Formats: sequence, structure tokens, C-alpha cells
Amino acid sequence: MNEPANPSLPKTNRRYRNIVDMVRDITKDEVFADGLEKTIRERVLLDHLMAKRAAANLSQKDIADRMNCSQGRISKLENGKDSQMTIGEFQQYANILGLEVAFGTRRKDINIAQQVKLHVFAIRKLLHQIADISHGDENMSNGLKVFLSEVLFNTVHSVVDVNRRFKDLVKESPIEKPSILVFDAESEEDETVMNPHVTR
Amino acid sequence: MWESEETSGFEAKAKKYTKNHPKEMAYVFQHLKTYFQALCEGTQPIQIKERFRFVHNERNGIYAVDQRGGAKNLAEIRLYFFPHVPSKTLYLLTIGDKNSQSRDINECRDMVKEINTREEKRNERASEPEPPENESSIP
Repeated sequence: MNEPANPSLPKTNRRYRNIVDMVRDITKDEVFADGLEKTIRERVLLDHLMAKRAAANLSQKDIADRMNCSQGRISKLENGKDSQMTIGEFQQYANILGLEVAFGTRRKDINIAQQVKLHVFAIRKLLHQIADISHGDENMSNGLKVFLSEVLFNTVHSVVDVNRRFKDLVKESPIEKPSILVFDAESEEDETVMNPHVTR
Repeated sequence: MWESEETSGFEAKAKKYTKNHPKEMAYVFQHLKTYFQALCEGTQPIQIKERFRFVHNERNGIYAVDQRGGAKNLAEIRLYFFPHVPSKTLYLLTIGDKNSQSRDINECRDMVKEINTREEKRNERASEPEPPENESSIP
């Protein structure tokens, strides 16, 4: 027997991983969505800190006590923009949450695909560092083998997960055979990632 | 990874309130984004409520975010949602103001009952063993 249709349940079944995309899609109000996106971009660090504070189960007062300021100051900070927070405040807040602050810059014209390549290269570098540490130690080497299996599983799982989202599109336009990226360890990091040798 | 899913009446409410109360809705959606990010950190809904003043517990697993923290003299708007932890789905239920508050909450309760029933059925179906594909091929 079929389940009776219920008017209160989702009909469209649209699912989103991003609140701005959802707002843009359902309100069809580009001006409003652009404004919201701008506001959210101005609060990337604050939203990150606030989400971590909730995860750590800490109140604004807990943070204030450790930063030697009033709860009102933290409230004002959290309701503002990233640009209104000093680097010192950011570092203090992050340290209270047990986070280490790492600063970095990247070229503005780098697209997401290029960012992924940069991360792949960075992961490769870190894995070599672990391999260097465990060199000559049998226990550590065995542990590293298990760890590498986990890294491989998680990487493949992530790619499969993303690929699943394009299942229908792939049917219509089959993707090309996968390329193999060969990184040249001798060359400069940025150049290598930006200009990987592609072999097919 | 958490995903949000709208219920059928949500779109109309979102359009209406965004048009009539854009300032308030900007804060409401901003708060929803912060809440969503906290969920993605793996934090339990009740714990997020305890830590953010703009989140309200409306019971039966229903929560709401308001427009607080921004400019003064804004209308009191609430966006109601139901975070379903096992499926990592944030169901967006409805949006309302102070006048419609009790009616909105009652509507949300009905929706949550239906969502829970549907999720239970889905789980039952998922836990049923799959029948053999072709019995005749079994020797």
C-alpha cells in the first residue's frame, strides 16, 4: 500500500550544504542573496570561532574570563565583522579553544581546483615528513602503514562521495579517462602544483 | 556532512519575509548559517542552543533562530527548524513573527511528527534483509 501524501512534508526535496545557496535558490532575490553572502564573507573567522566555542561547550563568559574582558566585549566581538577583531584577540580566543593559529596567503586568482592541487601537494609533503620520522623504527613504520591505509581510504571515500553528486550528469556526458598527476619533487612547490606534468 | 532540506511551505514564507523584513531576515539567515556550521562541527543541537543566545528551544526537537544581535527596533522574526541528527538533515520548517508564534509552533510539531514517522519507516526498510536476486540460480 502506498503511503498517503502529506502536504506538510517536503515536496521539492531540495537539499543544500550551503545556507547562501539555499537562500538564493528559494527567495530568487539576487540582491538580498548577494548582501547576505557579503555579510557572511565578512564573518568567516567569527563564525569559525563561534562554532568551535559551541563545540567546546564554552559560554561567552568563559571566553571573557580567560581573555580578561567583559562578557559584553565578547558579545560585541561575535556580533561584528572579522575586520573589527584584532589579530591578538583572534589568537587569544583561538588559544582558549585549544586551537593553534596558522596564517597563510595565496594568490587571489587561484581557483578551487588549483587549491585542491595545492592541498594534495601539502599532504604529500606531510606524509614524507611522517615517513622521515618513522625511518628505522619498526613499530612506527608498521603504524605508518596502517595510517597510510586510512589516508588512502578517506581520500578515495571523499572522491567517491563528490562523484556521486554528479551521477546523473555523468550519464549524459561521460567524463574523460582520469589523468595522473605527477609532481616533480625537485622543482619549486608552487610551480609544481600550478603546472603539474599530466600523463595519460 | 549536514544538509538542509526545506519543507513545502517554507519557500513561500521565506519569500514573504525576505521581501517584507529584509533587515531582520539577513540576521536570521546569518544566525542559521552559524548554527549550521556548529552542527557540522558535530555539536549536539541542545548544546548549540545553550551556547547561542539567538537560538530558542521550542521543544519536541524544534529550534528557532531570531534576528537578535543586530540593529535595534527590528521586528521579532523566528525561523523554525528541526535538526534530525541520525540523517544529518536540518529540516527548515517555517518562518513567523511574534503574532503567529503559537500557531507556527503547533504547525512545526505536526511536521516533525510526520518527519519522524517517515524517517522510522526509512530505517525499517533499510534494516530489512534484501531478498536474493535470483532464487533459481541457487544450486
